[in-house]
Amino acid sequence: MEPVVAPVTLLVPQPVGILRLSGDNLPDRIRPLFPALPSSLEHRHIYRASIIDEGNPVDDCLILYFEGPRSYTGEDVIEIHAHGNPHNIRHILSLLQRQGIRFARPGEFSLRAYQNKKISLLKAESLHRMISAPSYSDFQEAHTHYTASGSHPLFTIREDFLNLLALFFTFLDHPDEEEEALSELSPKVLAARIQTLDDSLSNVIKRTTKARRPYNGFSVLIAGHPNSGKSSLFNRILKDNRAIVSPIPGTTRDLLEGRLSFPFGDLVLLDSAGIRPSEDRIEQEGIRRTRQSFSRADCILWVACPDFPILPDPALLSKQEKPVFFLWNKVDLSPPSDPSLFHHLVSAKTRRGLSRLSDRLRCLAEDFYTSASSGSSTLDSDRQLNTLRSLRSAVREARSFLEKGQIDLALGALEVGRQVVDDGVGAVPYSDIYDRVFNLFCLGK
Amino acid sequence: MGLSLRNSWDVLVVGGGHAGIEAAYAAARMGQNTLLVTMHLDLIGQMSCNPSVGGIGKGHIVREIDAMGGAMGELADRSGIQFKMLNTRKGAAVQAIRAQCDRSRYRIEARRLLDSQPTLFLRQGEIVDLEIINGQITQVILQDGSKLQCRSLVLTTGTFLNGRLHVGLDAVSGGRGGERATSGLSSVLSDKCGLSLGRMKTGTPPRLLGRSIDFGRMLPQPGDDPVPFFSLFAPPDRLFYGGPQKPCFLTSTTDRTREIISANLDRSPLYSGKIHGIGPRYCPSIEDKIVKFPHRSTHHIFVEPEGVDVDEFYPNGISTSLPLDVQEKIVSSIPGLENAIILRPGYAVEYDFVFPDQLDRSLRARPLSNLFLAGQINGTTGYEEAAGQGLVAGINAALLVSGRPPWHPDRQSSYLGVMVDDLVTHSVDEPYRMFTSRAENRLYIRNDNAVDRLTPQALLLGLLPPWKAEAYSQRESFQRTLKAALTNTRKEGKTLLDHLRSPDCSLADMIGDGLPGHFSQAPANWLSSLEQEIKYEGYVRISNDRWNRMEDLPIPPEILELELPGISREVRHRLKKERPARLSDAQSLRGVTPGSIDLLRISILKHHKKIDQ
Ligand SMILES: Nc1nc2c(ncn2[C@@H]2O[C@H](COP(=O)(O)OP(=O)(O)OP(=O)(O)O)[C@@H](O)[C@H]2O)c(=O)[nH]1
Ligand SMILES: [Mg+2]
Repeated sequence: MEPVVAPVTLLVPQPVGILRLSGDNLPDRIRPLFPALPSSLEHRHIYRASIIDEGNPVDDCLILYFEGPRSYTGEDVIEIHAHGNPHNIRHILSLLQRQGIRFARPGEFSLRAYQNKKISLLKAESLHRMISAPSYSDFQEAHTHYTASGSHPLFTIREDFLNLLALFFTFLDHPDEEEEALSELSPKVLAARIQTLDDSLSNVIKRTTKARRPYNGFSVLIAGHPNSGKSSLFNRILKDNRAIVSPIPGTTRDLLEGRLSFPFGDLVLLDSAGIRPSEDRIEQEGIRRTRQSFSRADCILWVACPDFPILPDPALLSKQEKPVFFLWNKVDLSPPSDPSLFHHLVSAKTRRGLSRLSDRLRCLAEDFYTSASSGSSTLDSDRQLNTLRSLRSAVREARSFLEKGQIDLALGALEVGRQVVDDGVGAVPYSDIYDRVFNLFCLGK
Repeated sequence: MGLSLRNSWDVLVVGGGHAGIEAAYAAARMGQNTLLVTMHLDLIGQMSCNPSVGGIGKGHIVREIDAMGGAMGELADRSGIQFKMLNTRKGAAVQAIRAQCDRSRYRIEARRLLDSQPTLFLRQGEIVDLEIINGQITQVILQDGSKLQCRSLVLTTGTFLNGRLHVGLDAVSGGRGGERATSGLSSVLSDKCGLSLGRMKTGTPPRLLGRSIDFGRMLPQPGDDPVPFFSLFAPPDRLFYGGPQKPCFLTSTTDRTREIISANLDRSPLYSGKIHGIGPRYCPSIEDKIVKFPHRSTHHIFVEPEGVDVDEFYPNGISTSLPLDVQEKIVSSIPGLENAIILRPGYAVEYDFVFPDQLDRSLRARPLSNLFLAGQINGTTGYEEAAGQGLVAGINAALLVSGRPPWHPDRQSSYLGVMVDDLVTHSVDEPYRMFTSRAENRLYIRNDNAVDRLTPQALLLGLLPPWKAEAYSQRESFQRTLKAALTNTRKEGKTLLDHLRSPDCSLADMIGDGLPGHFSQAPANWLSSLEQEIKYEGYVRISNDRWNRMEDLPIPPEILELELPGISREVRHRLKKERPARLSDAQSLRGVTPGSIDLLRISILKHHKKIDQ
């Protein structure tokens, strides 16, 4: 396929910056830039060569070569290690583009690996999860799925499902009054097996929905009246100046995400638009988003201050089973009239109370990650989640037919589930299922 | 050779087994001058395994053959001594009939049927060679030196290709107990026809003398009352001998049986490495059962009568190739068979078969223009599977001769279609047997509606005599009248039709109570097939939907290059490789699931929209 390139390292000053390329006949494509490269490159060898632009040396680089199809993408892959100054890396990128090598789209390397049958869709999903995992334990789990696909919950579910199909096949294709093997099988046994499968499906689905957080990590929403100092607190906790701070109420319009990385996992801090009645359409949308995040975030910090000593509308907090903390900001100006209403008295200006607040958040995040990594595995993507949801509804339909004694219709419903599994996890040939029948039962006269 | 002997034929069928019978009978019904050549004229229609026809999946095929005017259902009805409807408690879609037959009566009826066809002739002889000119078979050469010209040829040689019979460590050439095998034909098929061959095996149990069996120690297994016959057009009103049905008897192996077999495994050709052919897993020898399921202490044995005139029984369940002295010990270790006398020893047979993915959907061997193969030669087992293929091959041999396009049974509407499709797309890695689980559309392709599914096609092909065509239209109009009555009669605010959809409402209860009593005069199947049609209608629509909701769109080639969401890697790969031109082509590709066809269809429609904008 046409060659593509993408920087693998961030464009920030650092000792080494890495560019990765993939495509057919790559050595020939880049040789004009690296005249010193030998005429034929060897698989998995490292070369040292200078980039030459119109006769002038640009940078001294290391070139790693992987010959297709023995590479990640299945095509030729080259990594260029250059000096990590962002301007230098950008310049090299533009030189490569002049050679007709275009920028890779997000995920394009994995897509190519998938298309060239180097990795399955499931592996690609595990890989994506590995890269964006919010904690080390999540990374490890995705890595296990990636390296040992048999441990993937989809595979265990598929095994159970195929065994169930095999039982139905056996039951329907053999007269039970004659096959002694069938004495072990009855509609009752089939119903119990369906129930077991339904349970494990529900289990995985529940575990996954619980573990997959909307903001990909433990999230803390900062909310309150406009101008109470939310953005100031956000900046202080992140030790950054990302959020705009101003004395004009209604400054923040959009949800802003910041990430703190701890050894046990990420804490995602969310700054939000202040809540008040507003005619401004943009502000209204911002407030709608804030309200939405109330149900999505894992923890809420409500900020009040001397100008707006207000607590949140109870309707906002009803049905929220998550920790909510009331902060009194701008304590440097004046303390609250009833301090017992507030968990923390802080000042974004003087930093008073902030380290205690940070410690508290850190503890909450740590608890969250320790309880999430209970050892049982979860799914890698929404697509996988949807696959299991459709499978579960097929399985439930089968059960309701079985309860009415319509066993052929029950199998019909399971066959719909089989399509779901075929499309979602990979096609299963008939013979695979029938092998199970003969491993389980001594059939035939 | 006398000049009076005719030697030029439209359709020539080799083999007088169940495939050969259907092939010759179909071609003759379609008006072709047909010759059936077989090694022994008295053995046409021989049941080489157990004396029984039908069963789950298999009985479905028999009904389909019958709906197309074929032989098997009528032959079984006219020679049957016991009939049973199987799986009655598991839903109408998986129910099927099985009959015990009188072995010699079946042969007589088969011969009578073939002899009654004006354009069908029989000839005893063994084929040794084929003459092929430009990829077309022009004549077949018999061992007696005769040469027979033919315009199309159907080979149905069963287990006779290079057949070898094993009893213990002794092996002799043979196609069936007591019969010769053909030896030269295998190499003709591989060398001259360019077909690749494999090897399979199957087996039979020893046959026992009835008066030496103590039936008192076994459980009798009676037939159903009323007798469920196969034939849909003209079921007989009684068994051929007028008498009551004959029971089978159930007994089982003992620990002693297991000890005997374990102690003698070294004398089994299966376990001493003398037999290499692949055997059917669902029809295991007793050696296999003992070795593979050591924890099972007993295995069922059904003692089946061979017929009304002979005192011979078939102990179904102890197929074996152990030496005769061991067979005797095995038999005497079984309750009721302690003193049983063996009339014929059991044996295993190994034979050549042609990998069926070398055939097209009309069962024509692709390397040649006019050679059709049917039955066990294609790696299947079972009389019914053989007969079904014989029907398809015979029809297509006749169509070829008359210059008409081939007929392909459709996978979505028949077990014949499922079988042909499985064979030619997936080939076989063990002897192929029909199961209802092989049919995705099993809720529609039922035992009760074979006539609705296939008789119209048989009429188009010219396979039915006028009286059957007449019977079909009477059935049609009866069912239409009955359905109208169901739609127009209301009870408790609902039509009877709606009532009938519920699983616990039966048509029989409505006749006389809401519906006029004269409806009950109709043949039972006319009523039951309509009843099931109504009960399954809702579900069939759902499962047919998957297939029918699509018009057959052309596939723009560029779409195969796109990332098609949801389509599995295997399927994408296959599509890219085969580059199907239309959805129907894609659908017939191996491994391409209906789900991915749906997704492909959606992608095509989206693609068109994009281009339109
Ligand atoms: N004295 C004092 N002033 C503060 C403190 N925190 C914030 N401010 C001031 O309060 C004003 C509003 O601060 P922001 O952080 O922009 O408030 P906000 O809650 O994000 O406001 P909106 O985005 O409009 O909802 C700014 O002028 C800040 O400098 C504090 O602890 N003490
Ligand atoms: Mg703000």
